[in-house]
Amino acid sequence: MSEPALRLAGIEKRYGATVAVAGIDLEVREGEFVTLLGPSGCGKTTTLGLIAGFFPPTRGEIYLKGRPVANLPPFRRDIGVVFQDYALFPHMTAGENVAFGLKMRDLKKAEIEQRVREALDLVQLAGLAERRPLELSGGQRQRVALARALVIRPAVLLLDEPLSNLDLKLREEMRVEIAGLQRRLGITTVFVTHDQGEALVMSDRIAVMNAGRIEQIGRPAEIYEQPATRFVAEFIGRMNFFMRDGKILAIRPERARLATEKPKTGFAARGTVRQVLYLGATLEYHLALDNGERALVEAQNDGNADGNVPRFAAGSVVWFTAPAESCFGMPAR
Amino acid sequence: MTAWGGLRAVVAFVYLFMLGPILITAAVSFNESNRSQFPPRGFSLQWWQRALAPEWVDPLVFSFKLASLTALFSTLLALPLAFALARYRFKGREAVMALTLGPLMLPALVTGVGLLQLFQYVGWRDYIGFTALLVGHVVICLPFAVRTVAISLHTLPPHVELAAASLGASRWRTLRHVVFPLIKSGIVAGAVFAFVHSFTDVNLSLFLVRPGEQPITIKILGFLEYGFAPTLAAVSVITLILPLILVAIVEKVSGLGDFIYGERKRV
Repeated sequence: MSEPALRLAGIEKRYGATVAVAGIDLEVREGEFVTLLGPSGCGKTTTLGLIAGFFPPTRGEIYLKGRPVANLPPFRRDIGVVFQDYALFPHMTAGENVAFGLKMRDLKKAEIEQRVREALDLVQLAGLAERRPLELSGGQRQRVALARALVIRPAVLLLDEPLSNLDLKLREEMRVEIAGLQRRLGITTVFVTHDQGEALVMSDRIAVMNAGRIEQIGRPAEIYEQPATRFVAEFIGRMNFFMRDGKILAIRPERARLATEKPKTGFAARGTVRQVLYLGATLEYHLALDNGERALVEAQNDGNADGNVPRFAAGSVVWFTAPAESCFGMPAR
Repeated sequence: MTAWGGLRAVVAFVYLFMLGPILITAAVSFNESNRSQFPPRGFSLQWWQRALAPEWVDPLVFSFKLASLTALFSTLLALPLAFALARYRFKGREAVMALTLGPLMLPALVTGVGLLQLFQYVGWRDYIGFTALLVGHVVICLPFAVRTVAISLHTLPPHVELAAASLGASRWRTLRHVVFPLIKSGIVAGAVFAFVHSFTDVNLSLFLVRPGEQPITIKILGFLEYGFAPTLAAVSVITLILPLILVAIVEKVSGLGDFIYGERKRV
């Protein structure tokens, strides 16, 4: 098998007694889109900084196409970075921003001009090359930052929460656009986010991080369908947890149903509806089970209160049910 | 009176006291007789003629040279100092900070007396005059330069240096192509502050002059002992206008106003 485009081997980063990254092993294949997903403080941005070379790891090695780079400064690493705040150079035009990396590589003027034009075309900013960052909208700045990182044709592209400063609609557009661009160019990408939606939509694989470690890594469906730990199950989507025989039983709220009678198979627990939330496309039933546990059912709003999803009113006694294949156990920690 | 009317009155009042004395001085310099009366009687340029004699032009040129070199050295010293103070947490940082910014709190008079004694005790009596003045002015002007450069370093957009590094710029090229252009107006502002502060200083200069090596402010002070003459009014106007012209030129060239009035453009 050929060398992975990027490999982290036992990477650690400590600041005094504080452990920011507590030993990470990760392989990213050529052309793959891998997301580091986790809450703030989980070490994902630090990991990105280590890959970019903004600070050295306390321990471990980083390989770029097989070449150890942990001791190289960032400007010798051949890595493109898009920052959360874009970090555009305010005293340069969009075109000059994009040209910067090529100038630092001392390319010929004609080639620089040509590649800058192509890069701006790629992010649909042709014609805005003369604008300064101040004269661009948030979305346009984001595109300039992307073009600036891509134009140097880096071995790896790093994206540090690049969508979090955009408004909702633009963010959803850019998700699709960035993921599309990445696949078209086949550029190896590491994406950092705390937004599970972005991670699920954009990634080939997701590495869920917690307290400086990778808790689980896998395809989006694997992470969602078979979370390995309680942390992963809670962080991605929502989850009902029940203690049964010393183990944790986990059931996704959208796989659970409410029933008036106890079903013959699968999981069932009796309880009372405490609250019904109307969310438009879905309805949420918050239950208190008879054993004191809480449970959540997310039901499609099919417009028919008397259909297969009865709209139980608050106070009614119901059965929380789920087919056996939607229940999975995980060790209680 | 409306609130706006009240504000206008206050502004007018402030301007009256800021600009009034200047206008009166300027008017007095055109008096026909050797009397400092206002409003002026008659019109004559004779006092301006006298003000442009070597007796006055020499100290003016002296002040100009002193202020220019003070601005230059303060800025050159301020750059590394501001970088160190703004960027690094090192041992003795507090001490360096106190030493750098201290003269801002200390009366320049005290600094002047101290420097005079220092130069005498270590046997540098011969350097009293231009050299001692230059040292003293750099000491009292350094805080202005360090502060403006440090502020402009602090207001640098975050991550631009990392972005430059990731795009292949070495530390030196990052400084040259990214950091320096972005803090340029801060550096220039610091230099201008230093120039103006040096050009207008009396307190410190008082102790470090020697015959033939004195700035215009000291010369004016000395002349005042013999009373006020329209010549002095003319000299004062020149002394006042020189730094203003400088500030105006720099403002035009490098957009100093953004820095002085705090309207920094940010991304």
